[in-house]
Amino acid sequence: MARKKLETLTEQMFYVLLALRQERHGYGIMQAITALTNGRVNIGAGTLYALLERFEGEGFITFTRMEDKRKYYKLTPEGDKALREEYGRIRQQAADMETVLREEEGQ
Amino acid sequence: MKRKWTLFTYPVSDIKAAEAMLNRLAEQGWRLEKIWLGLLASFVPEEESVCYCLDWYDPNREDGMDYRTLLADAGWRRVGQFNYWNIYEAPAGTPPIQTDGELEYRRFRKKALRRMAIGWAIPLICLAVLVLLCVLVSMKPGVLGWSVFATIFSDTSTGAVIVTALPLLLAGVVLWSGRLLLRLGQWKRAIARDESLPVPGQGSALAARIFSLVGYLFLIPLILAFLLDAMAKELNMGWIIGMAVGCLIVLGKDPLPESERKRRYAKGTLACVAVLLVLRVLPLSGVAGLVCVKPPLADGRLLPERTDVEAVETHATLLSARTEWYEGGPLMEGGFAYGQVESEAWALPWDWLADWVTEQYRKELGTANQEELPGYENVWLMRYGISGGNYPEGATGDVWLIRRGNVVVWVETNMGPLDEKWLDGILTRLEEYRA
Repeated sequence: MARKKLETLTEQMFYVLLALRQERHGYGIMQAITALTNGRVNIGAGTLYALLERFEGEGFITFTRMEDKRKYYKLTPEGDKALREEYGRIRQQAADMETVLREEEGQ
Repeated sequence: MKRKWTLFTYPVSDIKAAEAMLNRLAEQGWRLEKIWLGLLASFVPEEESVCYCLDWYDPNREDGMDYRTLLADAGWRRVGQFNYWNIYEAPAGTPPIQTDGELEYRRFRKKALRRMAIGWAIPLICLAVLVLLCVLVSMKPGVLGWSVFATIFSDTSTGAVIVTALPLLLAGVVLWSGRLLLRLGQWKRAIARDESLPVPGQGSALAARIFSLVGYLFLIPLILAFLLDAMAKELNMGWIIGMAVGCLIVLGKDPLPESERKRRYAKGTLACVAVLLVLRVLPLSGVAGLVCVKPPLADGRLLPERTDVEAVETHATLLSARTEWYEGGPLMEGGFAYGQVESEAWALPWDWLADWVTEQYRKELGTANQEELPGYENVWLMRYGISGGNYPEGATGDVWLIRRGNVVVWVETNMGPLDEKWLDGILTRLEEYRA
């Protein structure tokens, strides 16, 4: 049942890493994702907390500071690499979709 | 103020059913006020729309302040705690706390499943000990005395209540476990399909709540039995003191906010231990005696005309009672007792148990003494010769087994034969006891 060790990212994971291209705390990440996706993607606070723990364990993000009982995080080079690989995969998927649609229109 | 009440005895596996119920009532304009003793939930009318989320909780592994701060920033306010759950409330429309099924399942495993496994292990260990006792008792020639099993009913009310309710408890454990395993399977299938965790049907959830309520009601006789044992001085002082020391250690640690619940539980446990200690110290055994079974034949000696020394030990519980005698005499120079009488009398709660105890005693009489005494029903006698020591030639000893109803009496003496007059006296006392 468990996914392979973060070789592919879910949509929620992708947006969390994307939001951490800037240093943010947990709720800041939630707000950034909601704003970026116009409310299409909503991540629960508990889910976000678990993802942050997991990403920190995988070395994708790093804890930078604690302020007012809020932990701040930032993307690491490994995290940036994983994010770009996922971005490349998504782009390839979109390109494949474009190809198929063009072929269908051409028929 | 207008209030609405509902039964809140959800089993732990019905977290989604409990959450759905809270949200259904919230949509109808009811806000959770309080959970009462883990049994009932009260609701009050609320104009502002709210929604609820239940989050897994482990008092031994409290979440850090940053977790609670994050939930608070997201709009979730903790309004209650019940069993393995924290109950959170937020304005209607707030995204739920958990939006990923797999991560929610992992949190359940981390926070709840480990505790459940430990909780499961305890009744399993008790069951294993009970089975081992039964095996040892049934082994020939008898590795463990059979009376160990019978004393469970006669020596402590707590033991008697637990063993009596054991079939119901085991059935409850099987049902609870089955429901949990069913739920785990449903959750795993939902996660594999990338769906949210399913919500049990309302009928099924209601049935589960009612069964759980029955389990809670079992606590009433159990608490009563515990208090009676404290009053009757049957509770081990070392255990009581150990519990108190454990609570004081927990309370003596730094009062971290994360340990708030653990400290509250320690205070509650300490209060209960204090009650037990007071009951144990105060002379309340007479009060316990009013509700417990009266120990049989404890009101007088077995051989008053022959013995000078008497030591009687009685045990009484809600279900059963036992009397053990030692009588010695007559006293010789230097305080030495010439002969002795040892006896046990059991007042048992059920025919089958009295049958079993009688059967064990009859085995001890030997195969030559299995016939009832002529003219007496349910009376057996083994008479044996004694030689050597200070005994005169031709000295005999008696072993009597007498049963009247569910009272079983065993008398063993080396002070010579006992006659029918003695037997009739015992039978009269037994009839007076049973009346």
